[in-house]
Amino acid sequence: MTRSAPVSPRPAPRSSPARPSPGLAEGLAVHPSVFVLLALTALAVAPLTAPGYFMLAHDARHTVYFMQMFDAALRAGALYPRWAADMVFGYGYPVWLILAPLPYYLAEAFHLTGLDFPSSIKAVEAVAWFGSALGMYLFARRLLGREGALVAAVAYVFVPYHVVDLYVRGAMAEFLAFVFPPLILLALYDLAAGPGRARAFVLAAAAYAALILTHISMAVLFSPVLFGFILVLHRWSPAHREGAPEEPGYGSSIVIPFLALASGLALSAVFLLPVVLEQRYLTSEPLIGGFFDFRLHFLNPSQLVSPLWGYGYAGINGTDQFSLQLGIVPLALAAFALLSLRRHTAARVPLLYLTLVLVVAVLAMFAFTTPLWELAAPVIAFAQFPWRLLFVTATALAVLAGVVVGLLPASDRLPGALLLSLLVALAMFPYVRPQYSDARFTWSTMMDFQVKDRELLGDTVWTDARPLDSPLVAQYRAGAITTKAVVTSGAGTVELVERGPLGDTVRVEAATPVRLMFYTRYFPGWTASVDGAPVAIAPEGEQGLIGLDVPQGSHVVVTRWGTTLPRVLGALVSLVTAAALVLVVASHGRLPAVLRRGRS
Amino acid sequence: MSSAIRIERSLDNSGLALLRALSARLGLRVRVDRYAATLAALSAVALGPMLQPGYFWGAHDARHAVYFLFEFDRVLRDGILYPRWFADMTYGYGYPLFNIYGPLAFYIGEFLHLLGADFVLAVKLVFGLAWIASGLAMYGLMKRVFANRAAGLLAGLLFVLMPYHLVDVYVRAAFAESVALVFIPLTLWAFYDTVTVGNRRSVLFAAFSYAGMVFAHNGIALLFSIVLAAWILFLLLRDERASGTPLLSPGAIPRLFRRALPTLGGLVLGLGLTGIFMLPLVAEYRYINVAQWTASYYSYQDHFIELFQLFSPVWGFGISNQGPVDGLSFQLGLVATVLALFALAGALRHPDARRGVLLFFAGLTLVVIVLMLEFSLPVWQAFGLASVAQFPWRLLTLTTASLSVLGGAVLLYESNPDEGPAAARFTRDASALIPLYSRGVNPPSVGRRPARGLGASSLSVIVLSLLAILGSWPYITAQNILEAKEGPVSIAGLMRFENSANEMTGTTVYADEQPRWSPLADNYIAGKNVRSKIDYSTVPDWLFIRIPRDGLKSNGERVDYNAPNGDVPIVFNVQMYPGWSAYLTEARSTQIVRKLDITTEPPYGRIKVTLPQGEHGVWLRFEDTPPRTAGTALTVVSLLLALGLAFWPRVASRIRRSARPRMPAPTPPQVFR
Repeated sequence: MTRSAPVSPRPAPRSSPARPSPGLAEGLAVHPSVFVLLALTALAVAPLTAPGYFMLAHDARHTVYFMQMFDAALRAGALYPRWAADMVFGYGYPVWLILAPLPYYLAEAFHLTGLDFPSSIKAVEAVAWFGSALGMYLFARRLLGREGALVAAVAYVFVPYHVVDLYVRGAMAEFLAFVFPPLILLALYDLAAGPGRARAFVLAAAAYAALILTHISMAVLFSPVLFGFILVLHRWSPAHREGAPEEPGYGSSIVIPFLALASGLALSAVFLLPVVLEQRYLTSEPLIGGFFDFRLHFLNPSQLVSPLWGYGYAGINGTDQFSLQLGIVPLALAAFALLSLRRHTAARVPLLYLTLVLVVAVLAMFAFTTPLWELAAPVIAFAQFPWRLLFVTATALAVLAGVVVGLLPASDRLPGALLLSLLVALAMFPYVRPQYSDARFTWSTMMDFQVKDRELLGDTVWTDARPLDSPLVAQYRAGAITTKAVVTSGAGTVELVERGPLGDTVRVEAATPVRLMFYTRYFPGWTASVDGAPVAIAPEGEQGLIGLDVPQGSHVVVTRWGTTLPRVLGALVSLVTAAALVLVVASHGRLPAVLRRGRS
Repeated sequence: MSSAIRIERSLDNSGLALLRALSARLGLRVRVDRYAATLAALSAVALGPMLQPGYFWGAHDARHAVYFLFEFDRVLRDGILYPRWFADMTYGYGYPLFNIYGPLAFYIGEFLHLLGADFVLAVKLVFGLAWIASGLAMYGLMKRVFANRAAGLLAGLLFVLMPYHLVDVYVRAAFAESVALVFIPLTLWAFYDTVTVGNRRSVLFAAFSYAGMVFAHNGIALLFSIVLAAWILFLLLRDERASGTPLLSPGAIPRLFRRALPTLGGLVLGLGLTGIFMLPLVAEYRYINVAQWTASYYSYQDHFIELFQLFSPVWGFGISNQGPVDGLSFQLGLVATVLALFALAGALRHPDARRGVLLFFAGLTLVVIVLMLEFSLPVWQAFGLASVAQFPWRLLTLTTASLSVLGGAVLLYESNPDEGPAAARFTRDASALIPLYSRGVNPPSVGRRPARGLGASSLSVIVLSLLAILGSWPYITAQNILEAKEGPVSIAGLMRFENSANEMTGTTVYADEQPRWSPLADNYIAGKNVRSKIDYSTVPDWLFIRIPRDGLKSNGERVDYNAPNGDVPIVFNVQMYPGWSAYLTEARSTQIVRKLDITTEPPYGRIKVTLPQGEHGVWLRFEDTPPRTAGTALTVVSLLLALGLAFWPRVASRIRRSARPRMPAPTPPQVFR
């Protein structure tokens, strides 16, 4: 590639320590600040150890029911479940076509050890608390040293939106997503210091893929930050770049970090490709229309500093019933950070960049930026709420809050950081409480949730109207499904032989040729066979259910949730990428030579 | 460190200088303790919700406070200087509330009411004043014991903002208890003085603060007396050890006794001062129907707390329930707890006199925590602790104080930069943050040396104070209601309160059942002027009764009658209790002829008097019983003694001579080797 001669825009800093970037294990080596971090993070984890659950959190019940269906599909043999058979009153919905699966895989791992569904989810959330704390610690340590990293990591844990996401919104996936931004930033920072670092390359790819596979909206919102970070490090960070041991041939290639992110995209192809290619079969109105139109959810500036706390729902145009505060204490600390940026010679550019990110993300939450949003509306609309940018501000604000520690003389940094992290954590502690509840989750309560709360519903393009009920609801409540298909024309009887999350088997006694309709939504991927021979299926009725013709006589009709080309392709791309990354790690930590020739 | 001094000096040069100049003009010598003034100002953040209109009527005992004061005022206006009988309680049948309940908070409230505050405002003012005072008392204790004003400021602030303190006011509205909280540090301070100084001033201080605590809340006083005894014993033994003579040597016990004399003097004088309250309480408590307050909901076994609740951030305005889910917070105070751990870490590294005191409070905290857990049920049963504390979680009153002391003590271990590990150097962060200040705020100054003994630099105090405030900030809320559902504070409102809450409806042992309503209450609600408490349904047609103007008072009533047909029993709508006497008087006169026998009328234990035939008067009076008279005399004598002690130096010097000369306050290291 071509690039201009390496010009230092600023004089060489007075102290530009050739800071060797320690590896992950070394980064977590026992240090008092790590203990303090874990202890303070435990304050945030504590509510998860209480019995029961917090069902009143906005999305808490959805998560458990998704988990319940995910587990059923997995046990039925789907390695990558996409069809949630019990949604929409039992008609089913391909929810994991659009919902990233990683949180559910993780929860499933805990479930397999014997935990029930709510406890598995809480276990993932506990891991996510610690993971986000340690991830931020590792990243901030590069910029601020251990002591500053302690304050940054504690600020990241106790930034209000982080707490809100779990204990008020119950948004497990979004909450888990907090783990990954610091890790990606860390990997990109290391890559910029020496793009030959294979482990950093793999970390960048894996963490970016994990973010995508955890919550696509968050990945969409955070990706611009990553692109900007790469560009900024490449262009303006002479101290950083010159401090790194120049490795001949590829010292400052900008291709490598972007390639790492691209690998992350490829790694998540199993999810991304079907999202892109098959989402058109779903009506997107329920996701981005009506109440979920992003134009209705811009913030009133005062909300960013308001002390309001609550467990209510999102409102329209600033009437939200829960806190959307930036984090008063981290904000105050970050204000001091701005005064002291000069001291951070080595990390000044990334810190200035994060300041910019903070400012832009804050501004983008206000209504006057609507025209900008409209520009990217087709994609960004799936973020639903502009205040989800608090996810972005959390990262930037947390790092900036840690900068203040650099003001202290070296010998005082540890106690100072200790005190400041206490301030950050304990000022937030009173809010670290969900609305505790019992945890009763059965198939029957799931139907109640759908019928009464009108949740877990979704439509395909073959649906004419959202249903209010289905013939299956009563069967769910009775505890046994007995009728899964009916004859819509012709004369015959249908008897259910076997029912599962991935398809049903029925026996048809047809006096005449009949049209059979399954109580299952038609969707690409469904196949059917009569006596083992594949037959064509088509959407049937106003609900767009599976319809097929059965000839006269006694037949066994089987439906199966199969696959499609985008899904197969996606899985292949993911597998190949994963294998390549494993090879990279195995190849003594060096990138293949073909990649290293970036500069020539 | 020098920057700290600079900050102080710059403060000196601003508002305080103006104040000094003004007072100099007026010929006053004003000494302002800057730390105390700062503490008082910072404590005001706790009062925020009280500055809003309305009152937290929904808090547990919020209405009690207002209506107790309302009744207190009514009785006082009848000319009774020490009210015992509340005539309008129990739907007008009356109840001897202040024979068993400490009146201090209500005297203060009444004083403010007489100055013009309405009942609600007076109650809020007392809450507020007590709150500020409690912080200042804690400050005084810390300043006295540790000679460190910064630690005092922090401890005071922690005490004021401790979650349970906020619960006590805004959730429980425990009026008397919140006043009693002032006296916990105050009493510890006073008795520290009697042991370490032992002059007459300290004896007076101890006597009045102990008496004040009893008058504020006898339950807390009783509970706290156990702690106080341990505190005194600890201080005596500590100084005894410091003096170097073995404890078991001959003459040690008499010497110890001599040294304890000022302390004992303070205790005895203090108890004497409370005679007017305590003697009748002890003698006549058995005439109260206590079962009503200890049965069912009030059974203490159901109110132990789970360990996690001590650290839970959950907040609420509900009540204590059986099991782990309570409607209100029982948090120890996480900020204070964390700081206390650091202080103890510091204390363990510095074997000096401060360490003993801190270990005393740490031990106290631990014991109290254990006692609040269900695990300690056998201890409660064995020692009858429930009669003292009512509910296990009310012991949080004690940890509120002890953890404040420990938390504030984090500023004690600060000065030496060469001290080892991070934990001990914890608070030096402040001096470290100072460059940030000194560059912009303060001009560089040369040649000023930091004063010794100040403790911490100003900035660590600022950051730690911020920690104390922010850690409790979200809890500083009250459920303010503009208008009580009982309506304006009035006798009718009181009746509605008694009826809706079934509170202020206590009975004496003479009652067989608790009234649910009364004809008197009907009249009050209807806005009628009740001029007599005679139950007219018991009066025969031929009995003529004349009610004189102002015949009915809260402590009795007098009527004239004409009973031509013979002796006739009449019933007063007044609940029987020792002190009620009936007299036959001359007609239309207060001239007493003889005493009449009183019997009681079931089921409410109302007073029944048989009127002799003829034209006479009858006078029902609530009088002092022998315990009340003796108690009043004891208080008066004790007051005279106290006055004597204060103004008659020869008495004092005699006590001082009998005590050992004063111990030097800072004891040398290795006290406990």
